[in-house]
Amino acid sequence: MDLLIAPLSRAGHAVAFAGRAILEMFRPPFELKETARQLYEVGWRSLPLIAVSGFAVGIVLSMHTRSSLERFGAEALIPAALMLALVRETGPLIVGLLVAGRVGAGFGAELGAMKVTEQIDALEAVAVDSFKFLVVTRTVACMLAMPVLTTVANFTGIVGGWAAETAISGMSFEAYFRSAFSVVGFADYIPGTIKTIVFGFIIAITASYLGVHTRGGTQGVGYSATRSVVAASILLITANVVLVRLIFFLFPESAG
Amino acid sequence: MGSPRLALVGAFVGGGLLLFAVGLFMIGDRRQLFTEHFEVVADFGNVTGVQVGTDVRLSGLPAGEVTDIVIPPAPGGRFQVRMRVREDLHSLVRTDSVAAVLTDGLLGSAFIQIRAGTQSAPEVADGGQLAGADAVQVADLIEEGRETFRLVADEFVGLREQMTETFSGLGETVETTTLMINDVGNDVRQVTTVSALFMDAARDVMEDTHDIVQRVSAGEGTAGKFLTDDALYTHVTGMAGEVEATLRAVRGSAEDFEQIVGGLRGPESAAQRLLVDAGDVVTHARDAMSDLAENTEAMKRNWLLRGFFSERGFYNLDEMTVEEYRELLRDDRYTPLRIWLRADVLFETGEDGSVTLADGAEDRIEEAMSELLQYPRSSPLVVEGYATAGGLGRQYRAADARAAAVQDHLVRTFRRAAELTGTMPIGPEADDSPSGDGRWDGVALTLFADPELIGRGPDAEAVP
Repeated sequence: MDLLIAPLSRAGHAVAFAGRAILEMFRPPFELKETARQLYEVGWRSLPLIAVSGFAVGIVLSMHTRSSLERFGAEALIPAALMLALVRETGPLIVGLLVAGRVGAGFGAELGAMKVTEQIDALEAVAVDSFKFLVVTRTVACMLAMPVLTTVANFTGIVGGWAAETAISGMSFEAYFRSAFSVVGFADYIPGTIKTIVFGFIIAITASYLGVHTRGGTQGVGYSATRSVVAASILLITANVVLVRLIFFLFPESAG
Repeated sequence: MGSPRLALVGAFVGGGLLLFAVGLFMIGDRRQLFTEHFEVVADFGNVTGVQVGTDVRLSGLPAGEVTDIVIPPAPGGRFQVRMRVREDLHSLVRTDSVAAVLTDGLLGSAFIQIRAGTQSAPEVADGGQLAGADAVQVADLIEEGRETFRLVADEFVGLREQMTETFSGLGETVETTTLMINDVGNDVRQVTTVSALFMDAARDVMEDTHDIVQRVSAGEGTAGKFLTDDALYTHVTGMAGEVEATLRAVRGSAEDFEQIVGGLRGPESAAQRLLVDAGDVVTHARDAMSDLAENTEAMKRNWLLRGFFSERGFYNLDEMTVEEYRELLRDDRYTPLRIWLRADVLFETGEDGSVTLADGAEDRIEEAMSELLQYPRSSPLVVEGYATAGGLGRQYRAADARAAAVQDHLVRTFRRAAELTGTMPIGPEADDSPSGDGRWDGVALTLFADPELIGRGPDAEAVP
C-alpha cells in the first residue's frame, strides 16, 4: 500500500508546491532583481545554445522537407512547410528540451546544494522567504525566457532553412522569408509560442521542487540534478500532448 | 547584479518581443490586416477547400481573404462567400468580374481567384455581388481522363479492325493477281501450243515436198516419158498445186499467229490491258507493302517496340546476297548448326530438270532434323542449296530447286513456320563442307540457334 501512497503523496506535494508558486507570483514583494538575475542566467546565457540549435534544426528540416516535397514537384512549398513545422511544434519542443537539460540540471543542483549546505535554512533565519526568493524568481524567469528563446529558435531555424535552400536553389532571403510566412497564421504562431510559457513553468517547478527536497550530501545533489532533467523532460513532452489538443480546441483553424 | 547584466536582460526580452512582433507583422501583412479593404460577395455551388481565411487573388495577385461563408437555407442553394479585397485593387474589380474556386497545383490549398472585369463595366460597390464559377474538382478531371482513355481505347480497336480488313484485302488482291497472272500464262501457253502445231504441219508439208522433188530429180532419165505422160504431168501439177495451197495455208497460219502475238503486244489488247491491270495491282500491292514496311520501320524506331525487333534480328533471305548470307553465318548472335546432306542420296532429277525427293530421302532428312529438334522451333532454319554440275545458271536453278524441295518437306512434315524456314541457293562453293574441297553437291540444313542455348561454337556435321 505504501508503494502506491508514497508516489501519490509526492505528486500531491509537488502539485501543492506548483500551486503555491503560482499564488506567490502575484504577491509582493516581487524580488525583481533576483528575477532579472535568473532571467540573465536562464535566458541570455541560453541564447547561444538555442540559436545554434535552431539554425542546425532549420538546415536539417529544410533538407528533409526538400527530399519529401521534391517527389511531388512542390519545392515552392519548402519554406512554408519548414516554417509551419518550426512554429507549431519543432521550435517549442526543441527549446523546451534544451532548457530542461541546461536549466533544469542547474536549478536542481544549485537548490540541492543550498539545501544540503543549509543555505536555505540560513535565508529563512534572516527572514527571507526562501520559496519566493529561490523558487518563484526562477519560475518567473523561466516562463519569461521560454517564449523569447522559442522565437529566437524559430527565426534562426528559418535562417538555417534559407541557408540550406539557397545553397541548392539560390533563393533570396526576402523571397524565402515571405514564402515561409505565406501559410502561417496567427493560430499557428501565437499558441505555439505561448505554450512555451507552460513549458517554462514545468521545467522551473520540477527542478526547484526536486532541488529544495534534496536529501543526503553531494550525492543527493547530483541525484537531484539528474532527476530534474529527466522529470522535467518527461513532464514537458506529456504536457505538450495536452497542450496541442487544447490549442486545437481553442483555435480550430490551427488544426487544418 | 550590475547594470550591464540588466541591460543584457532588457535586450534579451526586448529583442525577443521585437522578433515575435516581426512574426506577427509578417502574418498580418500576408493577410492584409494593415491595409484598407472593401467587401465583395460571390455565390458558389461547391466550396471544397474554402474556409474563413482562404486566400483571395485578383488575376493571381494576393488581394485579400475570405471573411465568412454563409450556408444556404435549403438544398440546391448556393454558398455565399464574403471576401475582403484590398482597396487599391478596387478599380480592377468590376461588376462583370468572375470569382472562381481554384487549387494551387495538385497538392496546394484552395483559393478564390477574381478575374479583373472589363473597362466598360462599372466598379463593383462595397459589399457588391460577383458571379461565382464552381471549382474544378480533381475527381472530375479523373472522370474526364477516364472518358478520354475509353475514347482512345475505342479508336485503337477501330484502327485494329481497319488494319485487319486492309490486310485481308491485300491478301485477296495478291490472290487475284496470282490468278490473273496464271490466266495470262495459260493464254500464252495455248497460243504457243497452237503455233507449235502449225509449225509441225508446215514441217510435214515441206518434208513431203522435198521428197517429191527428190523423186522428180531422180526420174530425170525418163524426162521424155515424164513430159509426154499426161497423167503423170497432171499428177505432178496437182501435187504442186497442193503444195502451193498447203504453203498458203501455212503462211496464213503464220499470219494468224503473228496477228495473235501482235494482238498480245498491242497497246489496247485485252491481254495487254490484263497485264496493265495486273501491273497496277502489283504496284498497289507493292505500295501497300512498302507502307507496311515503313510502318514496321517506324515501329522498330519506337522505343516501346525497339527491343522486340532488335532482339529477334530476322532477315529476309530474298533480300540477301550469298555473300551477305555468309556474313550472317559469322554473326555472333546466332550459332549456326549445320547438317550436310548429299544430293545423290536425296534427289531425283527428272528429264525436264525438275527436282524431286528420292526414295528414302525423307528418312534421311528426318534423321538429320532429329539433331536439330532439341532447339526451339522459333529458331530460324535455312536450307542451303548447293549444286556443282553445269554452268552458273544451271547450278543456281538446281541449288534453288533442291533447297525448295527440302524446305517444302520440312514445312509439311515438321510443321515448321514457313517464315522461319528459308531457302538460300548458294551454288557450288561451300567453304566448310565436309567434302574438304570447298565444294558441295546437295543441301545443308542450317539452324540459327541462340548461342546461350547451345553453349558452343559453330558445328558442322555430315550425314551421308
